[in-house]
Amino acid sequence: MIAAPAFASAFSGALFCLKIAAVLVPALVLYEILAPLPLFARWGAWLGPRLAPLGMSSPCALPLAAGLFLGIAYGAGIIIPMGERRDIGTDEIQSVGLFLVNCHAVLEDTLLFSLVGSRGPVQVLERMAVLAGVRLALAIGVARARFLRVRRRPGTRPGSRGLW
Amino acid sequence: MTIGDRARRGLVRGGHACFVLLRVTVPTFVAIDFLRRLGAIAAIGGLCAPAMALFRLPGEAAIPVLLGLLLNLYTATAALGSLGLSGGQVTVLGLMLGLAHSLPVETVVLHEAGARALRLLAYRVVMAVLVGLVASRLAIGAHS
Repeated sequence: MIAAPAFASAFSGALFCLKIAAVLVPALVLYEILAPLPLFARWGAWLGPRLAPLGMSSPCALPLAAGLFLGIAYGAGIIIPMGERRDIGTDEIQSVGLFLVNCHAVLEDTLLFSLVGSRGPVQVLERMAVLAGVRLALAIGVARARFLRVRRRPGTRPGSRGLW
Repeated sequence: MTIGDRARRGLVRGGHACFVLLRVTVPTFVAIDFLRRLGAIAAIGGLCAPAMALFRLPGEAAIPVLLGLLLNLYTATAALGSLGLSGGQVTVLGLMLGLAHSLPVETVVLHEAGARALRLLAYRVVMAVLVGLVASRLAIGAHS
């Protein structure tokens, strides 16, 4: 009889999903409510000029923030048009891309993994902090390293586009 | 936009994520249970055990890794939830898969945006391996 075990595992799959939903949905609602606060607009204005050491100019702040919080797939609507903007250079796009592959969708992705087999909210927060912290540190470090390396080789393919 | 609109947008986003998750977890849990009964999980685990041992992970952990790399983190988490790994092992996998996941989709988006996407792809895979090697030494005991 194959139906009984299949039903049991389907049920435990749904239960697993429900447990994640119980945390994920309120977290995203809270984020949507808090995101348009003036505090965050000021944070964006503050962030823009400070991206220079990472090889990005102020207009990069929007696609960067979209990737950071929405993710590369959900933020594609804001990230892809970056290629058409005249105020963002191809080399800056590579810097944004390098930053984002290290660290994107920091809320959803880290929450998802932190919820697997965690005991209690303290452990969830602890694991989220570890996952997000390591990725953010890597993103900043690698973008900075790339900026230092590229700047030291002036004129190396400033406008090159392509797969590699 | 009023607070109500924003809350609704959060609900829609969360609901969408959960719908994706539900569509993925139920079949994944059923499939993995089925494969386990057939002995396929043990076979894949045995095959991948030497590679996964580098990260102090059991061979079966190769399944969420492969699903995460090729499909998405929802599928990977679903497979992870049905394997019953320790907290440290989940953290190591979370770091590795956090760096390298949904590679086909995300590489296309980055390419469309004008980045040199294959270079970023190679970077992600290499960095995931390096971070996995270091993190596993820190988070997982030698004999667990």
